[in-house]
Amino acid sequence: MAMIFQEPMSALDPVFTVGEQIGEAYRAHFPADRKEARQRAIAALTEVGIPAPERRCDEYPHQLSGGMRQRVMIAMALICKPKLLIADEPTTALDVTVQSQITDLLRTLSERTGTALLFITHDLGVVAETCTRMITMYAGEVVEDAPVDDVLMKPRHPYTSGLLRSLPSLSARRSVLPSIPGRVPPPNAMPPGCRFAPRCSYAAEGCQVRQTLMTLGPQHSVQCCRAAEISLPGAVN
Amino acid sequence: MSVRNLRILFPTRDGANTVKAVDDVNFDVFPGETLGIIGESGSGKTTLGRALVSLIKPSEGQVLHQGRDPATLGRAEFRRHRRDYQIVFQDPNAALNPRMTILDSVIEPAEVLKEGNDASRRKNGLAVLSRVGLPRDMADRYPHQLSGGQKQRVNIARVLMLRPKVIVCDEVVAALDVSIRGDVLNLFADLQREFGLTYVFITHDISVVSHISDRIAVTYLGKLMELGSAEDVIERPLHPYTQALLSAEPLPLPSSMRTTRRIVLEGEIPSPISPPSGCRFRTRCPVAQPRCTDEVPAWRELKPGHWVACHFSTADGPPSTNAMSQHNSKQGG
Repeated sequence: MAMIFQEPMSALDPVFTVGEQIGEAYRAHFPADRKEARQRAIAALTEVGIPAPERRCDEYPHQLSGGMRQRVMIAMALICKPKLLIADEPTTALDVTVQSQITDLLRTLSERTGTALLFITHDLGVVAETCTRMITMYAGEVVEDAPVDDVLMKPRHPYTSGLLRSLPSLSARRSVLPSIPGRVPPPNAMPPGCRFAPRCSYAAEGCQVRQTLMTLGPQHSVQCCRAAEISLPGAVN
Repeated sequence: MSVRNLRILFPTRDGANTVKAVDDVNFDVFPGETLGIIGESGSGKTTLGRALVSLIKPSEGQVLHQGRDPATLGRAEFRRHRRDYQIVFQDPNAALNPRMTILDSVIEPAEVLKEGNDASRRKNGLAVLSRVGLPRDMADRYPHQLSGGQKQRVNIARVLMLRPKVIVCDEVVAALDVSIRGDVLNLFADLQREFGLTYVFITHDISVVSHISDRIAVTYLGKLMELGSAEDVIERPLHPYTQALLSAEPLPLPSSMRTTRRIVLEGEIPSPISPPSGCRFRTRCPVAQPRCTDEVPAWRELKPGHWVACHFSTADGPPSTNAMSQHNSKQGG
Protein backbone atom coordinates (compact mmCIF):
# COMPACT_ATOMS: atom_id res chain seq x y z
CA MET A 1 0.00 0.00 0.00
CA ALA A 2 1.16 3.55 -0.56
CA MET A 3 -0.19 7.01 0.09
CA ILE A 4 0.28 10.51 -1.29
CA PHE A 5 -0.85 13.67 0.41
CA GLN A 6 -2.21 17.08 -0.38
CA GLU A 7 0.80 19.21 0.45
CA PRO A 8 3.88 17.78 -1.22
CA MET A 9 6.12 20.35 0.43
CA SER A 10 5.21 19.16 3.93
CA ALA A 11 5.41 15.50 2.94
CA LEU A 12 8.93 15.71 1.52
CA ASP A 13 11.94 16.07 3.78
CA PRO A 14 13.66 19.35 2.88
CA VAL A 15 17.17 18.20 3.80
CA PHE A 16 17.34 15.11 1.59
CA THR A 17 17.44 15.02 -2.17
CA VAL A 18 14.45 13.80 -4.05
CA GLY A 19 16.37 10.74 -5.24
CA GLU A 20 17.39 9.78 -1.71
CA GLN A 21 13.78 9.94 -0.56
CA ILE A 22 12.46 7.83 -3.41
CA GLY A 23 15.33 5.39 -2.88
CA GLU A 24 14.52 5.24 0.82
CA ALA A 25 11.01 4.05 0.03
CA TYR A 26 12.46 1.23 -2.03
CA ARG A 27 15.17 0.22 0.43
CA ALA A 28 12.63 0.05 3.26
CA HIS A 29 11.08 -2.98 1.57
CA PHE A 30 13.73 -4.54 -0.67
CA PRO A 31 17.43 -5.30 -0.19
CA ALA A 32 19.36 -2.85 -2.37
CA ASP A 33 22.44 -0.67 -2.07
CA ARG A 34 22.46 3.08 -2.67
CA LYS A 35 23.56 2.70 -6.28
CA GLU A 36 20.72 0.40 -7.21
CA ALA A 37 18.23 2.54 -5.26
CA ARG A 38 19.35 5.59 -7.20
CA GLN A 39 18.90 3.81 -10.53
CA ARG A 40 15.43 2.76 -9.50
CA ALA A 41 14.64 6.30 -8.37
CA ILE A 42 15.68 7.64 -11.78
CA ALA A 43 13.47 5.06 -13.47
CA ALA A 44 10.57 6.05 -11.22
CA LEU A 45 11.07 9.75 -12.02
CA THR A 46 11.00 8.91 -15.72
CA GLU A 47 7.79 6.97 -15.31
CA VAL A 48 6.06 9.95 -13.74
CA GLY A 49 7.09 12.18 -16.58
CA ILE A 50 9.84 14.29 -15.02
CA PRO A 51 12.26 15.51 -17.69
CA ALA A 52 16.03 15.17 -17.07
CA PRO A 53 15.49 12.66 -14.25
CA GLU A 54 19.23 12.05 -13.58
CA ARG A 55 19.66 15.72 -12.76
CA ARG A 56 16.40 16.09 -10.82
CA CYS A 57 17.28 13.05 -8.76
CA ASP A 58 19.97 15.05 -6.98
CA GLU A 59 17.86 18.14 -6.37
CA TYR A 60 16.14 19.14 -3.17
CA PRO A 61 12.35 19.54 -2.83
CA HIS A 62 12.53 23.33 -2.68
CA GLN A 63 14.13 23.37 -6.12
CA LEU A 64 11.06 21.83 -7.70
CA SER A 65 7.64 23.29 -8.45
CA GLY A 66 4.44 22.08 -6.81
CA GLY A 67 3.48 19.89 -9.74
CA MET A 68 6.94 18.31 -9.87
CA ARG A 69 6.92 17.63 -6.14
CA GLN A 70 3.61 15.88 -6.47
CA ARG A 71 5.08 13.74 -9.25
CA VAL A 72 7.96 12.90 -6.91
CA MET A 73 5.42 11.81 -4.30
CA ILE A 74 3.73 9.60 -6.87
CA ALA A 75 7.10 8.12 -7.89
CA MET A 76 7.86 7.40 -4.24
CA ALA A 77 4.46 5.80 -3.78
CA LEU A 78 4.64 3.57 -6.82
CA ILE A 79 8.23 2.40 -6.60
CA CYS A 80 7.34 -0.67 -4.57
CA LYS A 81 4.54 -1.52 -6.99
CA PRO A 82 1.76 -1.38 -4.43
CA LYS A 83 -1.61 -2.99 -5.02
CA LEU A 84 -3.33 0.07 -3.57
CA LEU A 85 -2.46 3.77 -3.85
CA ILE A 86 -4.32 6.15 -1.56
CA ALA A 87 -4.26 9.73 -2.82
CA ASP A 88 -5.52 12.29 -0.31
CA GLU A 89 -6.50 15.49 -2.13
CA PRO A 90 -3.40 15.21 -4.34
CA THR A 91 -4.32 18.06 -6.66
CA THR A 92 -6.08 20.51 -4.35
CA ALA A 93 -2.97 22.62 -3.80
CA LEU A 94 -2.08 22.69 -7.52
CA ASP A 95 -3.05 25.07 -10.30
CA VAL A 96 -5.79 23.76 -12.53
CA THR A 97 -3.54 23.41 -15.59
CA VAL A 98 -1.12 21.30 -13.55
CA GLN A 99 -3.98 19.46 -11.85
CA SER A 100 -5.12 17.94 -15.12
CA GLN A 101 -1.59 16.66 -15.79
CA ILE A 102 -1.49 14.96 -12.39
CA THR A 103 -4.95 13.37 -12.59
CA ASP A 104 -4.13 12.09 -16.09
CA LEU A 105 -0.86 10.67 -14.76
CA LEU A 106 -2.52 8.92 -11.84
CA ARG A 107 -5.17 7.39 -14.03
CA THR A 108 -2.73 6.25 -16.72
CA LEU A 109 -0.33 4.74 -14.21
CA SER A 110 -3.09 2.97 -12.33
CA GLU A 111 -4.48 1.52 -15.55
CA ARG A 112 -1.06 0.42 -16.73
CA THR A 113 0.21 -1.14 -13.49
CA GLY A 114 -3.11 -2.47 -12.24
CA THR A 115 -2.74 -0.52 -8.99
CA ALA A 116 -6.07 0.31 -7.38
CA LEU A 117 -6.47 4.03 -6.79
CA LEU A 118 -8.37 5.36 -3.78
CA PHE A 119 -8.81 9.04 -4.58
CA ILE A 120 -9.95 11.26 -1.71
CA THR A 121 -11.28 14.64 -2.78
CA HIS A 122 -14.04 17.21 -2.40
CA ASP A 123 -13.92 18.03 -6.13
CA LEU A 124 -16.70 16.26 -8.01
CA GLY A 125 -15.21 17.31 -11.34
CA VAL A 126 -12.01 15.47 -10.53
CA VAL A 127 -14.02 12.41 -9.47
CA ALA A 128 -15.95 12.47 -12.75
CA GLU A 129 -12.77 12.51 -14.79
CA THR A 130 -10.53 10.22 -12.81
CA CYS A 131 -12.65 7.64 -11.04
CA THR A 132 -14.86 4.73 -11.98
CA ARG A 133 -16.66 4.39 -8.66
CA MET A 134 -17.62 7.00 -6.09
CA ILE A 135 -18.25 6.66 -2.38
CA THR A 136 -19.90 9.63 -0.71
CA MET A 137 -19.19 10.12 2.97
CA TYR A 138 -21.00 12.29 5.48
CA ALA A 139 -20.28 12.77 9.18
CA GLY A 140 -18.13 9.67 9.32
CA GLU A 141 -20.44 7.32 7.42
CA VAL A 142 -20.68 6.01 3.88
CA VAL A 143 -23.98 7.28 2.50
CA GLU A 144 -23.70 6.27 -1.13
CA ASP A 145 -21.55 3.90 -3.20
CA ALA A 146 -22.06 3.68 -6.95
CA PRO A 147 -20.40 3.84 -10.38
CA VAL A 148 -19.50 7.44 -11.17
CA ASP A 149 -21.58 7.89 -14.30
CA ASP A 150 -24.65 6.44 -12.56
CA VAL A 151 -24.36 8.55 -9.44
CA LEU A 152 -23.81 11.77 -11.43
CA MET A 153 -26.93 11.19 -13.50
CA LYS A 154 -29.12 9.78 -10.74
CA PRO A 155 -27.82 10.21 -7.22
CA ARG A 156 -29.85 8.28 -4.67
CA HIS A 157 -28.82 10.07 -1.49
CA PRO A 158 -30.04 13.63 -0.77
CA TYR A 159 -26.56 14.69 0.35
CA THR A 160 -24.93 13.59 -2.92
CA SER A 161 -27.69 15.34 -4.82
CA GLY A 162 -27.26 18.49 -2.71
CA LEU A 163 -23.53 18.52 -3.40
CA LEU A 164 -24.07 18.24 -7.13
CA ARG A 165 -26.72 20.92 -7.19
CA SER A 166 -24.51 23.37 -5.29
CA LEU A 167 -21.81 23.39 -7.97
CA PRO A 168 -21.66 26.70 -9.84
CA SER A 169 -20.58 24.93 -13.04
CA LEU A 170 -23.94 23.16 -13.13
CA SER A 171 -26.04 26.31 -12.55
CA ALA A 172 -27.08 28.91 -15.07
CA ARG A 173 -24.86 31.97 -15.02
CA ARG A 174 -25.93 34.62 -12.50
CA SER A 175 -28.67 32.41 -11.10
CA VAL A 176 -29.21 31.90 -7.40
CA LEU A 177 -27.01 29.01 -6.31
CA PRO A 178 -28.58 26.21 -4.31
CA SER A 179 -26.76 25.13 -1.18
CA ILE A 180 -27.28 22.72 1.67
CA PRO A 181 -28.60 24.55 4.77
CA GLY A 182 -27.06 24.01 8.19
CA ARG A 183 -23.70 22.50 9.00
CA VAL A 184 -22.05 19.17 9.60
CA PRO A 185 -22.84 18.03 13.17
CA PRO A 186 -19.87 18.14 15.53
CA PRO A 187 -18.59 14.69 16.59
CA ASN A 188 -19.93 15.08 20.12
CA ALA A 189 -23.43 16.05 18.99
CA MET A 190 -24.40 13.53 16.35
CA PRO A 191 -28.12 13.23 15.68
CA PRO A 192 -29.53 9.90 16.95
CA GLY A 193 -31.00 8.77 13.63
CA CYS A 194 -29.82 9.70 10.14
CA ARG A 195 -26.92 12.10 10.55
CA PHE A 196 -28.00 14.13 7.54
CA ALA A 197 -31.68 14.39 8.53
CA PRO A 198 -31.47 17.85 10.19
CA ARG A 199 -30.35 19.32 6.85
CA CYS A 200 -32.38 17.14 4.53
CA SER A 201 -35.45 18.41 2.66
CA TYR A 202 -36.75 14.86 2.33
CA ALA A 203 -36.52 13.95 6.03
CA ALA A 204 -39.51 12.03 7.39
CA GLU A 205 -40.54 9.89 10.36
CA GLY A 206 -38.38 6.91 9.44
CA CYS A 207 -35.26 9.07 9.44
CA GLN A 208 -35.15 9.35 13.20
CA VAL A 209 -33.70 5.86 13.62
CA ARG A 210 -30.20 4.62 12.77
CA GLN A 211 -29.93 4.08 9.03
CA THR A 212 -28.31 1.16 7.25
CA LEU A 213 -26.62 0.84 3.89
CA MET A 214 -29.07 -0.76 1.45
CA THR A 215 -28.47 -2.22 -1.98
CA LEU A 216 -30.56 -0.50 -4.62
CA GLY A 217 -29.21 -2.02 -7.77
CA PRO A 218 -26.21 -4.02 -8.95
CA GLN A 219 -23.27 -1.95 -7.61
CA HIS A 220 -25.38 0.86 -6.15
CA SER A 221 -25.79 1.10 -2.35
CA VAL A 222 -27.27 3.95 -0.42
CA GLN A 223 -27.91 4.77 3.24
CA CYS A 224 -31.31 6.39 3.04
CA CYS A 225 -34.60 4.82 4.11
CA ARG A 226 -36.47 6.86 1.50
CA ALA A 227 -34.18 6.17 -1.44
CA ALA A 228 -36.68 3.99 -3.26
CA GLU A 229 -39.47 6.56 -3.13
CA ILE A 230 -37.70 9.87 -3.84
CA SER A 231 -36.43 11.18 -7.14
CA LEU A 232 -33.37 13.38 -6.78
CA PRO A 233 -31.84 15.89 -9.21
CA GLY A 234 -28.40 15.00 -10.47
CA ALA A 235 -25.71 16.73 -12.49
CA VAL A 236 -27.95 17.02 -15.53
CA ASN A 237 -31.54 18.16 -15.42
CA MET B 1 -11.42 52.57 -11.11
CA SER B 2 -8.77 52.71 -13.77
CA VAL B 3 -5.46 50.94 -13.90
CA ARG B 4 -2.83 52.55 -16.13
CA ASN B 5 0.51 50.98 -16.99
CA LEU B 6 0.62 49.44 -13.54
CA ARG B 7 3.83 47.74 -12.51
CA ILE B 8 4.42 46.25 -9.09
CA LEU B 9 7.86 44.84 -8.42
CA PHE B 10 9.17 43.21 -5.28
CA PRO B 11 12.82 42.61 -4.46
CA THR B 12 13.69 39.00 -3.64
CA ARG B 13 14.88 38.28 -0.13
CA ASP B 14 18.52 38.41 -1.10
CA GLY B 15 17.94 41.64 -2.96
CA ALA B 16 19.59 40.28 -6.07
CA ASN B 17 16.48 40.00 -8.25
CA THR B 18 13.00 41.44 -8.63
CA VAL B 19 9.71 39.61 -8.76
CA LYS B 20 7.66 41.22 -11.51
CA ALA B 21 4.34 40.53 -9.85
CA VAL B 22 2.30 42.91 -12.00
CA ASP B 23 3.88 44.06 -15.22
CA ASP B 24 2.21 46.79 -17.29
CA VAL B 25 -1.47 46.19 -16.74
CA ASN B 26 -4.23 48.41 -18.13
CA PHE B 27 -7.97 48.12 -17.57
CA ASP B 28 -11.03 49.89 -16.19
CA VAL B 29 -13.61 48.82 -13.64
CA PHE B 30 -17.08 50.16 -14.37
CA PRO B 31 -19.54 51.23 -11.66
CA GLY B 32 -21.93 48.50 -10.56
CA GLU B 33 -20.19 45.67 -12.39
CA THR B 34 -18.61 42.48 -11.17
CA LEU B 35 -15.21 42.14 -12.79
CA GLY B 36 -13.79 38.66 -12.34
CA ILE B 37 -10.03 38.28 -12.38
CA ILE B 38 -8.90 34.73 -12.96
CA GLY B 39 -5.37 33.38 -12.85
CA GLU B 40 -3.16 30.66 -11.46
CA SER B 41 -0.10 30.90 -9.19
CA GLY B 42 2.24 33.72 -10.01
CA SER B 43 -0.37 35.50 -12.10
CA GLY B 44 -0.22 38.60 -9.90
CA LYS B 45 -3.95 38.69 -9.29
CA THR B 46 -3.72 38.98 -5.51
CA THR B 47 -1.10 41.73 -5.75
CA LEU B 48 -3.32 43.51 -8.26
CA GLY B 49 -6.31 43.26 -5.91
CA ARG B 50 -4.37 44.82 -3.07
CA ALA B 51 -3.10 47.60 -5.29
CA LEU B 52 -6.69 48.41 -6.28
CA VAL B 53 -7.47 49.29 -2.66
CA SER B 54 -4.16 51.05 -2.00
CA LEU B 55 -2.75 48.32 0.25
CA ILE B 56 0.24 48.08 -2.05
CA LYS B 57 1.89 51.03 -3.77
CA PRO B 58 2.52 50.86 -7.50
CA SER B 59 6.19 50.70 -8.50
CA GLU B 60 5.22 52.40 -11.76
CA GLY B 61 1.93 53.52 -13.26
CA GLN B 62 -1.29 54.36 -11.46
CA VAL B 63 -4.45 53.10 -9.91
CA LEU B 64 -7.10 55.80 -10.23
CA HIS B 65 -10.24 56.02 -8.15
CA GLN B 66 -12.87 58.01 -10.07
CA GLY B 67 -10.06 59.69 -11.94
CA ARG B 68 -8.04 60.61 -8.86
CA ASP B 69 -4.80 59.04 -7.74
CA PRO B 70 -5.24 58.16 -4.04
CA ALA B 71 -1.47 58.39 -3.58
CA THR B 72 -1.76 62.16 -4.04
CA LEU B 73 -4.23 62.62 -1.18
CA GLY B 74 -3.23 64.01 2.19
CA ARG B 75 -3.38 61.67 5.17
CA ALA B 76 -6.73 62.76 6.54
CA GLU B 77 -8.35 62.86 3.13
CA PHE B 78 -6.89 59.49 2.22
CA ARG B 79 -8.35 57.96 5.36
CA ARG B 80 -11.80 59.25 4.46
CA HIS B 81 -11.34 58.18 0.86
CA ARG B 82 -10.40 54.63 1.74
CA ARG B 83 -13.79 53.74 3.15
CA ASP B 84 -15.14 53.56 -0.39
CA TYR B 85 -12.63 50.94 -1.52
CA GLN B 86 -12.66 47.86 0.66
CA ILE B 87 -11.41 44.28 0.53
CA VAL B 88 -12.45 40.88 1.88
CA PHE B 89 -9.75 38.21 2.10
CA GLN B 90 -9.59 34.47 1.63
CA ASP B 91 -8.99 33.22 5.16
CA PRO B 92 -11.99 34.10 7.32
CA ASN B 93 -10.04 33.12 10.46
CA ALA B 94 -7.01 35.26 9.96
CA ALA B 95 -9.21 38.30 9.32
CA LEU B 96 -10.88 38.31 12.73
CA ASN B 97 -9.28 39.18 16.04
CA PRO B 98 -9.88 36.08 18.17
CA ARG B 99 -10.17 38.21 21.32
CA MET B 100 -12.90 40.52 20.09
CA THR B 101 -16.57 39.67 19.93
CA ILE B 102 -18.20 39.53 16.54
CA LEU B 103 -20.03 42.79 17.08
CA ASP B 104 -16.90 44.57 18.26
CA SER B 105 -15.05 43.44 15.14
CA VAL B 106 -17.86 44.59 12.91
CA ILE B 107 -18.10 48.08 14.39
CA GLU B 108 -14.33 48.65 14.64
CA PRO B 109 -14.04 50.42 11.26
CA ALA B 110 -16.75 52.87 12.29
CA GLU B 111 -14.89 53.52 15.54
CA VAL B 112 -11.66 54.16 13.66
CA LEU B 113 -13.42 56.71 11.49
CA LYS B 114 -15.16 58.19 14.55
CA GLU B 115 -18.59 57.67 13.05
CA GLY B 116 -21.51 58.31 15.35
CA ASN B 117 -21.34 57.27 18.99
CA ASP B 118 -21.21 53.93 20.82
CA ALA B 119 -24.97 53.48 20.74
CA SER B 120 -25.42 54.30 17.05
CA ARG B 121 -22.47 52.14 16.06
CA ARG B 122 -23.85 49.15 17.94
CA LYS B 123 -27.25 49.67 16.39
CA ASN B 124 -25.80 49.83 12.86
CA GLY B 125 -23.55 46.88 13.59
CA LEU B 126 -26.49 44.74 14.64
CA ALA B 127 -28.42 45.81 11.56
CA VAL B 128 -25.62 44.89 9.21
CA LEU B 129 -25.07 41.51 10.94
CA SER B 130 -28.72 40.78 10.42
CA ARG B 131 -28.43 41.85 6.80
CA VAL B 132 -25.75 39.24 6.17
CA GLY B 133 -27.99 36.57 7.65
CA LEU B 134 -26.45 36.17 11.11
CA PRO B 135 -28.82 35.90 14.08
CA ARG B 136 -28.73 38.44 16.92
CA ASP B 137 -27.16 36.01 19.38
CA MET B 138 -23.98 35.79 17.26
CA ALA B 139 -23.10 39.38 18.12
CA ASP B 140 -21.56 38.56 21.49
CA ARG B 141 -19.81 35.37 20.44
CA TYR B 142 -16.16 34.94 19.55
CA PRO B 143 -14.80 33.87 16.17
CA HIS B 144 -13.89 30.35 17.29
CA GLN B 145 -17.56 29.69 17.97
CA LEU B 146 -18.55 30.31 14.35
CA SER B 147 -18.16 28.20 11.23
CA GLY B 148 -16.02 29.27 8.27
CA GLY B 149 -19.03 30.45 6.30
CA GLN B 150 -20.36 32.44 9.26
CA LYS B 151 -16.97 34.09 9.80
CA GLN B 152 -16.84 35.11 6.19
CA ARG B 153 -20.25 36.71 6.59
CA VAL B 154 -18.87 38.65 9.56
CA ASN B 155 -16.06 39.92 7.34
CA ILE B 156 -18.59 41.04 4.78
CA ALA B 157 -20.65 42.76 7.48
CA ARG B 158 -17.58 44.61 8.71
CA VAL B 159 -16.86 45.92 5.23
CA LEU B 160 -20.49 46.97 4.77
CA MET B 161 -20.40 49.11 7.91
CA LEU B 162 -18.67 51.78 5.86
CA ARG B 163 -21.04 51.53 2.90
CA PRO B 164 -18.20 51.27 0.36
CA LYS B 165 -18.51 51.75 -3.38
CA VAL B 166 -16.10 49.00 -4.36
CA ILE B 167 -15.30 45.69 -2.71
CA VAL B 168 -12.35 43.62 -3.86
CA CYS B 169 -13.07 39.97 -3.03
CA ASP B 170 -9.86 37.97 -2.88
CA GLU B 171 -10.64 34.24 -3.09
CA VAL B 172 -13.50 34.79 -0.65
CA VAL B 173 -15.04 31.34 -0.98
CA ALA B 174 -11.89 29.28 -1.58
CA ALA B 175 -11.56 28.31 2.08
CA LEU B 176 -15.22 27.36 2.46
CA ASP B 177 -16.87 23.96 1.99
CA VAL B 178 -18.20 23.50 -1.52
CA SER B 179 -21.80 23.06 -0.38
CA ILE B 180 -21.99 26.42 1.40
CA ARG B 181 -20.16 28.53 -1.17
CA GLY B 182 -23.46 29.06 -2.93
CA ASP B 183 -24.92 30.84 0.09
CA VAL B 184 -22.02 33.26 0.39
CA LEU B 185 -22.01 33.96 -3.35
CA ASN B 186 -25.76 34.54 -3.27
CA LEU B 187 -25.27 37.00 -0.42
CA PHE B 188 -22.69 38.91 -2.44
CA ALA B 189 -25.11 39.10 -5.36
CA ASP B 190 -27.97 40.34 -3.15
CA LEU B 191 -25.83 43.00 -1.53
CA GLN B 192 -24.65 44.20 -4.90
CA ARG B 193 -28.20 44.72 -6.07
CA GLU B 194 -29.28 46.38 -2.85
CA PHE B 195 -26.33 48.73 -2.35
CA GLY B 196 -25.20 49.29 -5.93
CA LEU B 197 -21.78 47.83 -5.18
CA THR B 198 -18.96 47.27 -7.63
CA TYR B 199 -17.01 44.06 -7.19
CA VAL B 200 -13.60 42.94 -8.32
CA PHE B 201 -13.72 39.20 -7.78
CA ILE B 202 -10.35 37.49 -7.72
CA THR B 203 -10.25 33.73 -7.92
CA HIS B 204 -8.54 30.73 -9.46
CA ASP B 205 -11.86 28.87 -9.65
CA ILE B 206 -13.25 28.98 -13.16
CA SER B 207 -16.71 27.75 -12.20
CA VAL B 208 -17.10 30.52 -9.63
CA VAL B 209 -15.80 33.31 -11.85
CA SER B 210 -17.97 32.34 -14.79
CA HIS B 211 -21.02 32.18 -12.58
CA ILE B 212 -20.83 35.59 -10.94
CA SER B 213 -18.93 37.91 -13.28
CA ASP B 214 -20.16 40.45 -15.82
CA ARG B 215 -16.71 40.66 -17.35
CA ILE B 216 -13.67 38.46 -16.90
CA ALA B 217 -9.96 39.33 -17.05
CA VAL B 218 -7.50 36.47 -17.50
CA THR B 219 -4.07 37.01 -15.95
CA TYR B 220 -0.82 35.11 -16.46
CA LEU B 221 2.56 35.89 -14.92
CA GLY B 222 1.79 39.51 -14.17
CA LYS B 223 0.07 40.45 -17.41
CA LEU B 224 -3.44 40.41 -18.82
CA MET B 225 -4.01 37.85 -21.56
CA GLU B 226 -7.68 38.51 -22.25
CA LEU B 227 -10.54 40.74 -21.06
CA GLY B 228 -14.14 40.64 -22.21
CA SER B 229 -17.72 39.89 -21.24
CA ALA B 230 -18.05 36.75 -19.14
CA GLU B 231 -20.09 35.04 -21.80
CA ASP B 232 -17.58 35.82 -24.55
CA VAL B 233 -14.51 34.84 -22.55
CA ILE B 234 -16.05 31.57 -21.37
CA GLU B 235 -17.91 30.52 -24.53
CA ARG B 236 -15.68 32.06 -27.22
CA PRO B 237 -12.20 32.64 -25.73
CA LEU B 238 -9.72 34.29 -28.06
CA HIS B 239 -6.44 33.66 -26.23
CA PRO B 240 -4.74 30.23 -26.28
CA TYR B 241 -4.13 30.41 -22.51
CA THR B 242 -7.79 31.11 -21.77
CA GLN B 243 -8.75 28.24 -24.03
CA ALA B 244 -6.37 25.85 -22.26
CA LEU B 245 -7.39 27.08 -18.81
CA LEU B 246 -11.06 26.52 -19.52
CA SER B 247 -10.46 23.09 -20.98
CA ALA B 248 -8.42 22.06 -17.94
CA GLU B 249 -11.36 22.49 -15.61
CA PRO B 250 -12.74 19.09 -14.67
CA LEU B 251 -16.50 18.98 -15.19
CA PRO B 252 -18.72 16.92 -12.90
CA LEU B 253 -20.54 15.27 -15.76
CA PRO B 254 -20.83 11.63 -16.83
CA SER B 255 -18.28 10.59 -19.46
CA SER B 256 -20.85 10.56 -22.25
CA MET B 257 -21.40 14.29 -21.72
CA ARG B 258 -17.80 15.39 -21.37
CA THR B 259 -17.13 16.27 -24.94
CA THR B 260 -14.67 19.20 -24.84
CA ARG B 261 -11.25 18.20 -26.01
CA ARG B 262 -8.75 18.89 -23.28
CA ILE B 263 -5.74 21.01 -24.15
CA VAL B 264 -2.96 19.77 -21.89
CA LEU B 265 -0.30 22.40 -21.41
CA GLU B 266 3.27 21.21 -21.20
CA GLY B 267 5.45 22.20 -18.30
CA GLU B 268 4.66 24.57 -15.49
CA ILE B 269 4.26 28.24 -14.86
CA PRO B 270 7.65 29.98 -15.12
CA SER B 271 8.96 32.09 -12.28
CA PRO B 272 7.89 35.75 -12.15
CA ILE B 273 11.50 36.60 -11.34
CA SER B 274 12.63 35.82 -14.86
CA PRO B 275 9.55 35.61 -17.02
CA PRO B 276 9.97 34.51 -20.65
CA SER B 277 10.82 37.26 -23.16
CA GLY B 278 8.22 38.40 -25.64
CA CYS B 279 4.95 36.67 -24.83
CA ARG B 280 5.03 35.28 -21.29
CA PHE B 281 2.86 32.35 -22.25
CA ARG B 282 5.04 31.16 -25.15
CA THR B 283 6.90 28.45 -23.19
CA ARG B 284 3.67 26.53 -22.74
CA CYS B 285 1.68 27.66 -25.75
CA PRO B 286 0.82 24.86 -28.15
CA VAL B 287 1.10 27.22 -31.14
CA ALA B 288 4.03 29.48 -30.20
CA GLN B 289 5.99 30.96 -33.10
CA PRO B 290 9.40 32.68 -33.36
CA ARG B 291 7.69 36.08 -33.24
CA CYS B 292 6.38 35.23 -29.78
CA THR B 293 9.92 35.11 -28.38
CA ASP B 294 10.96 38.42 -29.88
CA GLU B 295 7.94 40.64 -29.48
CA VAL B 296 5.59 41.32 -26.57
CA PRO B 297 2.05 40.97 -27.98
CA ALA B 298 0.08 44.22 -28.13
CA TRP B 299 -3.12 44.55 -26.10
CA ARG B 300 -5.62 44.64 -28.95
CA GLU B 301 -9.38 45.21 -28.93
CA LEU B 302 -10.35 42.43 -31.35
CA LYS B 303 -14.08 42.87 -30.80
CA PRO B 304 -15.82 45.78 -29.08
CA GLY B 305 -14.98 45.44 -25.39
CA HIS B 306 -12.97 42.25 -25.93
CA TRP B 307 -9.20 42.65 -25.54
CA VAL B 308 -6.52 40.06 -26.22
CA ALA B 309 -2.72 39.92 -25.98
CA CYS B 310 -1.71 37.45 -28.68
CA HIS B 311 -0.04 38.07 -32.03
CA PHE B 312 -2.17 35.54 -33.84
CA SER B 313 -5.65 35.69 -32.31
CA THR B 314 -8.44 37.08 -34.45
CA ALA B 315 -12.02 38.05 -33.69
CA ASP B 316 -12.95 34.51 -34.75
CA GLY B 317 -10.82 32.73 -32.24
CA PRO B 318 -7.40 31.82 -30.87
CA PRO B 319 -4.68 30.56 -33.20
CA SER B 320 -5.10 26.85 -33.96
CA THR B 321 -2.47 24.34 -35.01
CA ASN B 322 -4.00 24.26 -38.52
CA ALA B 323 -3.91 27.99 -38.92
CA MET B 324 -0.33 28.07 -37.67
CA SER B 325 0.97 25.53 -40.18
CA GLN B 326 -0.77 27.41 -42.98
CA HIS B 327 0.77 30.63 -41.70
CA ASN B 328 4.19 29.04 -41.66
CA SER B 329 3.96 27.61 -45.13
CA LYS B 330 2.90 31.04 -46.40
CA GLN B 331 5.99 32.55 -44.78
CA GLY B 332 8.08 29.90 -46.51
CA GLY B 333 8.92 27.79 -43.44
